[in-house]
Amino acid sequence: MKKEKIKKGIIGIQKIRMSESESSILFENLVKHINKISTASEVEPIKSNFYNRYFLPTMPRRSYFIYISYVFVGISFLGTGIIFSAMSSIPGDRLYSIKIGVVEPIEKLLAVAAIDKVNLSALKTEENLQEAARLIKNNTLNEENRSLLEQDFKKHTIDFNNFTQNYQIGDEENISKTKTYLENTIQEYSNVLNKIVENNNGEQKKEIEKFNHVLYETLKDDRSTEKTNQEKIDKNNNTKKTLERYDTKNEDKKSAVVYKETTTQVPIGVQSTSTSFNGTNIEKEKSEKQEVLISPTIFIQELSTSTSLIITGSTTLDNKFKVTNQAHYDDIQKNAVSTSSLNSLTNEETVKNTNASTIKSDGKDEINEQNGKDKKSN
Amino acid sequence: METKNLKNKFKELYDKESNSIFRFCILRVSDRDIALDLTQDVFMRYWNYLLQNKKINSDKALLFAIARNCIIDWYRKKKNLSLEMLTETNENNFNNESIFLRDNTNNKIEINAEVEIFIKKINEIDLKYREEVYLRFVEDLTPKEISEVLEKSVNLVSVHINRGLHQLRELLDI
Repeated sequence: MKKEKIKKGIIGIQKIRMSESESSILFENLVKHINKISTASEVEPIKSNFYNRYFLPTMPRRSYFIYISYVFVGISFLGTGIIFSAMSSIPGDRLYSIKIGVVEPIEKLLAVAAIDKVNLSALKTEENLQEAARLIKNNTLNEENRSLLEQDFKKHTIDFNNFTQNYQIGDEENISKTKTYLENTIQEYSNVLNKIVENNNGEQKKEIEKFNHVLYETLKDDRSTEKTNQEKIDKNNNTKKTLERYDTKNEDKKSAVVYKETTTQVPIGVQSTSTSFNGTNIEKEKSEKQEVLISPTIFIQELSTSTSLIITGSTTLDNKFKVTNQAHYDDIQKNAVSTSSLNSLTNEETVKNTNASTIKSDGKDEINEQNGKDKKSN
Repeated sequence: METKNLKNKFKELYDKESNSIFRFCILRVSDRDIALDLTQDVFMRYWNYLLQNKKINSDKALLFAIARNCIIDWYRKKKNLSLEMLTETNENNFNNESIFLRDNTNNKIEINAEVEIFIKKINEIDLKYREEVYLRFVEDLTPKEISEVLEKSVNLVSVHINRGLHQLRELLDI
């Protein structure tokens, strides 16, 4: 009786089972799983020594390189984060020293072109002004912060002045624009600070006044340097003008330029648009204020292009020949150089050129050396 | 062993033991769908074990050992549920016959009230002896097999079976 009761219960429990559909579905799933995994190696794959999960497929798993690379990546992330947060720091912040000591020198190094350097220093100066504004807004402009800010501001303004003096040709316009922009901003900031000082009676008043004084001084210095620069430019312009006037005077006089040969050999004075001198030393003989001045640029051009003088005239027995042809006077004026420059021109190159016996010009005039010699003998 | 033989062996064992594993699971989790999932998981793990060519003393014991571990894992995952909810669901599920009785043809298998009471009484046995009693009398495992499943000595298992049976009798007022 006792056993039967338990048996009934056990049989009753044993009736609990899956339905046929459940069983078949379950078995199908299992077959799929079995077909996928048919070997023991697929159940637990043998790990490669070069296998790892973290983006470094060719590195040995237990290599220190992995840990070093993790450290490197971590440091780089941390570093960039610190640098980015330092860029927006103001005096008094912990990261401000990093900004001055690390970020700004790197930025300076990256600015290669002269115009970039000017723009960067202008930007940094403007940033200093913004920092001052933020300090005033936060009521944290104390003596220490102000001194830090002043140092940085002065450094940037000095840099700006230095860079503006060493500009390249062609950047003048941009530099003048940035200069005026910076001056205007400094002026605006100083005006605002003046107003703040007027309306403020707090602890910051003295510090604001001091900083404003610094701004005022920089503006003053800028203007004085501008004046001196302007004066220099004016002087240069004046000298140019005088030179031009002098040239025009010479043109009016239309006096002949006489060249004297020091050597015994007689040069070939010929009726030609271009004449070469067959001698080593040529002296330009001054006669009746015939000194011809030329500007430095013309002089450089002369050195580079001219190797011979274009002189027309007739040869004389006393080894003198005059430039008489009025039509070619302009050419002479252009190419004529002062005695010193002429001496310099009597180098090997000129000698070579002068060795040429005949020179054709415009296909009209032809000069023979022989003719010259005949004339000399005569 | 070749995979073909392994598959045949697996199929035989599935036909033979799938219901007992399902039963073992459903009596512990009190949820039919979860019991089905657990059963499937048990057989998957068993297949993986077969592929490793390890020595198996008793396939039935191994299946029950895997099922037991699966249930333990499931309870660990279920930690996030509150204790109140657990108790409520257990009671509801246990009172609801549908968790035991479901058919593809929707033919309900009738279970006597006596069987229900018997299940309740088994669950009232001390936790120490419950599994031993269940595996011995319901699933018909030998004490040696039970010792493999529960990782206990054979003597201890047989002692626990006796004590559990004694408790069950007391509970059934026999």
